[in-house]
Amino acid sequence: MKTPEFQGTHLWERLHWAKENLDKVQSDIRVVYEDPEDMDNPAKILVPDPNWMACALQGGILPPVEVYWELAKDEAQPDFEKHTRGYLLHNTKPIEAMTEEQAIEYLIQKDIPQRVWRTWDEGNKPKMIICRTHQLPEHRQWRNAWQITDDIELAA
Amino acid sequence: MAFGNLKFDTLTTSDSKNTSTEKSVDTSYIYNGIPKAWNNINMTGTAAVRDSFNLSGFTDNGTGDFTVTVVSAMSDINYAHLEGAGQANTSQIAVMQQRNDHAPTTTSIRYQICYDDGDIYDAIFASISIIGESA
Repeated sequence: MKTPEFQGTHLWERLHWAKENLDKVQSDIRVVYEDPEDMDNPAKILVPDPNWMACALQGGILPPVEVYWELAKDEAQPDFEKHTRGYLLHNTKPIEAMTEEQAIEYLIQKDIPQRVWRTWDEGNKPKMIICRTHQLPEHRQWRNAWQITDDIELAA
Repeated sequence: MAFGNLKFDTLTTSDSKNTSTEKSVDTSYIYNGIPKAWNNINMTGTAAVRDSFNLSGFTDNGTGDFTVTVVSAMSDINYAHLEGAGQANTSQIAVMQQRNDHAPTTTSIRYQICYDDGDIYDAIFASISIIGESA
């Protein structure tokens, strides 16, 4: 199915179109990461949303990830009350179709703190790995003890 | 089949004969009042999303602790949210709440699920709904 020309259409309305017209895509890719500002807590796991993944693979719906960085900059200002540049989400040219791997890269840059993914391979051990669900422990009995090097194998 | 768009500012009932008065609602009130994002997730086993709208995923922060992330951002951080978590054990009540030690943003909010005695747990059914103004 061809994506309508969506530049200038509110992103929320585009997602409605996707919900009605696209099948969910359940990815078995997970991103495991440790936040250097939260080292006392267990490794976190980013789980992609199946409806979002369908949008990413379809193309022409989601804004470039840089739009979220711009909005985050606005939100980080001490006098921030309300977004005044929400139009960036709706008016910026949507990105083309991505592969599943490219979509995960986008999601990392959208939903994981930059302090993690910009320096993921610096230090004594990686702060972040991309893996498949079968590489994670099968049960959550010791979930709050999960760390990257101890419990989760590196992706091949 | 698509029938195009209907554009109007106000909806008014036609039952004044029964109620002695017409009742009206502004369509922007309807738009702002409906949920802007929702999901239903399984926190057990390999945590996953069953279904959702306007969310890019969630981060499993640990037992009974997760953050959802929004695609079409909210305009500010003062949005409302509803949440619920299921538990088959009738002897304990499941509580799901926003973690107020982690401030929400216009694209993310963090939740915690626990029993009424305070023990944190992973719910088979956990769902959230976000209501407010879109950016």
